Amino acid sequence: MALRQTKQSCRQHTNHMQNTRRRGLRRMLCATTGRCMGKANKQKTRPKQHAAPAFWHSRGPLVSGACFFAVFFWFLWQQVDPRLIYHGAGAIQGFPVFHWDREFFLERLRFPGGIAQYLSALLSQLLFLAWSGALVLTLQAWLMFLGADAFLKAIAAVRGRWLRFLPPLLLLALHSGYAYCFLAATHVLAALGMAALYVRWKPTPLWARLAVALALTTLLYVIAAGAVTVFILLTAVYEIHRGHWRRIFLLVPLAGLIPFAADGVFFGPSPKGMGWGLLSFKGNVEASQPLERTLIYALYLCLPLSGFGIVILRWIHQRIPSKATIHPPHPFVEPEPVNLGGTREAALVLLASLAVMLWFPDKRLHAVLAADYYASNRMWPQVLEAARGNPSNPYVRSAVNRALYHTGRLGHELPLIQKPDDILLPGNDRRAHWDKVDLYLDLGSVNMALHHATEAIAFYGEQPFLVKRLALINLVLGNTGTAKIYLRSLTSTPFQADWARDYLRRLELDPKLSGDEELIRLRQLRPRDDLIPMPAESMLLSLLDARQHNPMACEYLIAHYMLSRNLLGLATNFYRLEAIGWKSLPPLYDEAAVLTAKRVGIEPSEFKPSPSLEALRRYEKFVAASMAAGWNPQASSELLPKEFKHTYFYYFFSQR
Amino acid sequence: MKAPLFRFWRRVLAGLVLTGLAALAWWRGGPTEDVSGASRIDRPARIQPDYGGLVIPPNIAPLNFSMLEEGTRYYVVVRGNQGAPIQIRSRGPAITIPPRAWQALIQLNQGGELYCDLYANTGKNGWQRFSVMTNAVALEPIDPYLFYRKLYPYHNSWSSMGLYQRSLESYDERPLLRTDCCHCHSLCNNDPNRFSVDIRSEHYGNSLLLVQNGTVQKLTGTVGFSSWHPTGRLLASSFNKPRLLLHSRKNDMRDIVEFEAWLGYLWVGSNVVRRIPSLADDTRLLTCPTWSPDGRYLYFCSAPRRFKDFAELFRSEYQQVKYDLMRVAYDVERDRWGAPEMVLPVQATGLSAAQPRISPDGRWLTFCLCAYGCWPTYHPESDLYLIDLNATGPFVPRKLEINSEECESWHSWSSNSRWMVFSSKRGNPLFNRPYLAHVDAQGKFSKPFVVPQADPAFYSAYLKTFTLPVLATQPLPVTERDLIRAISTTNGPQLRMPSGDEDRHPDSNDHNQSLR
Repeated sequence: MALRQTKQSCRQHTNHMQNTRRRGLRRMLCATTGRCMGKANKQKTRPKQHAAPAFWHSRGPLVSGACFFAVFFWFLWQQVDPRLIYHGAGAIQGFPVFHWDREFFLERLRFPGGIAQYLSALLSQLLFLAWSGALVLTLQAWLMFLGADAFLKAIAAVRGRWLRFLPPLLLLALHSGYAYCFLAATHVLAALGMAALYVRWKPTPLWARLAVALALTTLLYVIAAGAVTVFILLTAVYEIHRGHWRRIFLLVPLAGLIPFAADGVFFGPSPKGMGWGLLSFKGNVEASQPLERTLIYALYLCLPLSGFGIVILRWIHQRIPSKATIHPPHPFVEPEPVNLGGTREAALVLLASLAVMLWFPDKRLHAVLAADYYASNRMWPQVLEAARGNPSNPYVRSAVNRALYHTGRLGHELPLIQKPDDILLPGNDRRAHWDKVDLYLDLGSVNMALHHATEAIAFYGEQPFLVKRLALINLVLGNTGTAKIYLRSLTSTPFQADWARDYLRRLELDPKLSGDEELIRLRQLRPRDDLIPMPAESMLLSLLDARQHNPMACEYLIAHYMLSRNLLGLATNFYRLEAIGWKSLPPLYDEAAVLTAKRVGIEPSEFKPSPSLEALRRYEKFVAASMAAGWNPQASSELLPKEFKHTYFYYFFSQR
Repeated sequence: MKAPLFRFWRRVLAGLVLTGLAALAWWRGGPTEDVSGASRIDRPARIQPDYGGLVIPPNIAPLNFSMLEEGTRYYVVVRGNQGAPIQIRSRGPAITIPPRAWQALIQLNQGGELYCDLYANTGKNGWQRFSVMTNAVALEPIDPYLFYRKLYPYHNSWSSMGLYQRSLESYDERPLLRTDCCHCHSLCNNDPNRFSVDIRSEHYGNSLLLVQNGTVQKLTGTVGFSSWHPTGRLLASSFNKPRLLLHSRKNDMRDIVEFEAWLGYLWVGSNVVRRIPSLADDTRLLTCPTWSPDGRYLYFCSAPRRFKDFAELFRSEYQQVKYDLMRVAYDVERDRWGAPEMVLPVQATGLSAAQPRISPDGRWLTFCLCAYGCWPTYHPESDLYLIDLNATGPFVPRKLEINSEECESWHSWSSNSRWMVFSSKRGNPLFNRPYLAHVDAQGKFSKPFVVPQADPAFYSAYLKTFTLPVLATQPLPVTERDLIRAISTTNGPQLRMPSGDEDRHPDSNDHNQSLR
């Protein structure tokens, strides 16, 4: 009864849809849910033997599809956090910049595939917010799912319908690993869209068929050049499915010539060679990590290869007679629908999704991105929380140090840095440039922040994060003309425009921005003397010479001396802690003061700020315990009571 | 049933199209405006870029600008003593001049003047008319192409430096070389049929590309600034080791010092670099070579060598390294070099000379003077100076009237010696923009103006800096692909350095530290 009712409502629904302009959209929705796919699907619907399996057979795809994309969205929103991809933190390459600017748009019309690039750049901006980013990525995956479904239906791959989940699963894997693949996905989507047009639009004469294929290839080359290869492969698979083997020998070479002709006619010669757009998808792949590269190639090629596999297997199957096999009389005729069934498909999708969600997330990279994101937004408790995922990463450590300082805990936890100079971040590679911008700006070394921001922009392009910092730095330096250029550039970006306009408006009223507290603070912190930049110690000292009340430079200097076990440096600079307002010392500074006093030969009471009695007692206990262990670092680590393992005394003596 | 429906939709469509066109016409404004009752304002209108009081070439692209005056509507009339005036009505402050009408107008008024009437309608006060803006149109055209580098104003990484060719008669810009390398280009007599680019690249290695008659030749090795002999038979080059310094307080924090710099020359078709015999003195730094147009003198800059590495640098007063302007005679037929002569010693000005360039008519020697060093682009005080080479008596420099408070550098002459292009940071201390200025027969420079762009607000939000602008009489005869292919080829002959330098110079693999 229930089955009859369902079928009846399905027929009514189909009739209704034939007379409505929203038929295409409905079909898409139906394809997602696996329900009521109109006439074609109605023919394919197998009479059900039992109510319960029938229920699951018809609703399984609905449940699996809906659940899959709900989980997809939730996972991206809550676990991956697309904001981190947008932020990039210098770890994600190739995230596009977007400007609401006529020239920005026109520039992208001048080369093949520029339209797809423009759209990708525009939609990628939605990753600025976690929920909107998750939504746009989910929508992209859903459209890819629909395209894959339509293609699989077109080649009558009833048994392989579950393959429509393959592109979304690959996307999920890529997003989990923080690979920026929006453009690659747009290419695949464009190829699927054109393939759907090719399948629907089938004039009989061969020349007309070829004309359609070539017209679509040309259009696709203009819109999304990187999609042309996938499109040609999809059309080839479709023609093989239709039994037109010979046709592909004409279609594939002719379509392959289109990029060369289009370059000659529309775009002009490219430095990469005529027709480079044909292989331009490689550009999305080459800069990636090996795993990402494999996944992006898989995304491009999964459907053509699957389709090819299906039609070849079917062809082989037809030629090896078997009792169990139902032979379709002709490839045009839909085979008997024997698919996995709703339950099995749902189970398979569930398992595959779980596998992707467990296997592919890059938690260490997540920690790096999250720590940098929160640090750049000055969300210090969140930095400390995020850093737990990858505490040994130098960039995470740097963010943690800043967070510890800003939360007043640098004197409680010694940074885990091997080389003391690395307190100002090691290395001079592109990643380091990104991170050093905020670190140096925080310290007041504005020129060095400028240096690293300008270097970073050469590698990462005009990322709003960097342009914003450059505008701010130039405002601090009083380079109003330069700052205005950076600010005006930001006014055409989607999310930084208001901030930039506000500064531009304020600059009109007060060109020096003499009332801006942050600028005043940073101007006061700038070094007084012009020196060539130098090692961490000298740089911090020069900052403190310019302004004694630079708490961050002071605490970093003390931390630097503590890490390098430079007791003389500590003895001569400890007074600076009092100057920045430390009356009673946090434990590590306290212990460093005791140790310095004892080792250098100064009375602890003469030390300013003075170490506490408790620290003195702790030192005596530590000495006693160490003597019992024979001052042997190896033995000390085993024999010393646990209470000393987090003390500066222990660090000082045991890690030499 | 279908026909009436079709007619209905056809009408709707036609209506929409007509409405759209009407809206567009309304928005763009018609060709004329009734401004007869406009109130007069006795001052010039504020516009950006500043295109008032100029001498402009008769073949320049339209000088589009933005009105900085308040207004809801703007009306501009560009007129000359001959030809039909151009009227532009705009609802926005951007004034875009139609290119064809502009070209016709400036061609007709060559040697005459162009007048620009500017009106702004503030709504409340109605139309306001500002003082007429007058520009002279020179008789002498400017070379129609401009080659320049565009790069982010970074310090040590060259991943997005590009060499471009801009048509000054339109706004067309063509990329010539976009790779992750640092490069400098040089033309022979403003003719790109003899063109060289020296490349310093982490990816491709260091090389010198020579473009001659449509072919590109690669010579592997590290070359500094080059200058073509006017005969096109040889190139003089500096071979130097520049190093970057970063200041902690100075506003332009970048600085470059040279640990080593000598001059050599290379016959075209050969890969053997020869040292100039009379300049084979390791105690001095020699750089910025440039040939006189008759090919009889090589001008260059020279300073005592005070340090060879960073350790010595920090012990010395590197701000005291100042370059003299010198020259050395040369006979190209006999390949004979004379003795070096002083043109402008440091003592005469107290400043350091750099980037000498001589006008193709051989009369004017222009150069930069800055506080120290040979890298004026990082010195805000750098200004352009001129020496009349035809004048009798000692060479006397004259500070040019085109200088600003910010840095002027990277200048070059047009082939007819009537135009100069240079990079200037006026208005902001970071971004170089290319400026053009007319030079009359007496060496008087007219007010400089920035190279026009289709979008008048282009420079106000553009984050790249323009350096090394060079005027050219023709477009480059090779494509970007040809240049990239030449760079990436591995079979270019190796430059052979003079004995004693072989170990030091070719492919020294210090690309990132060797800066341009």
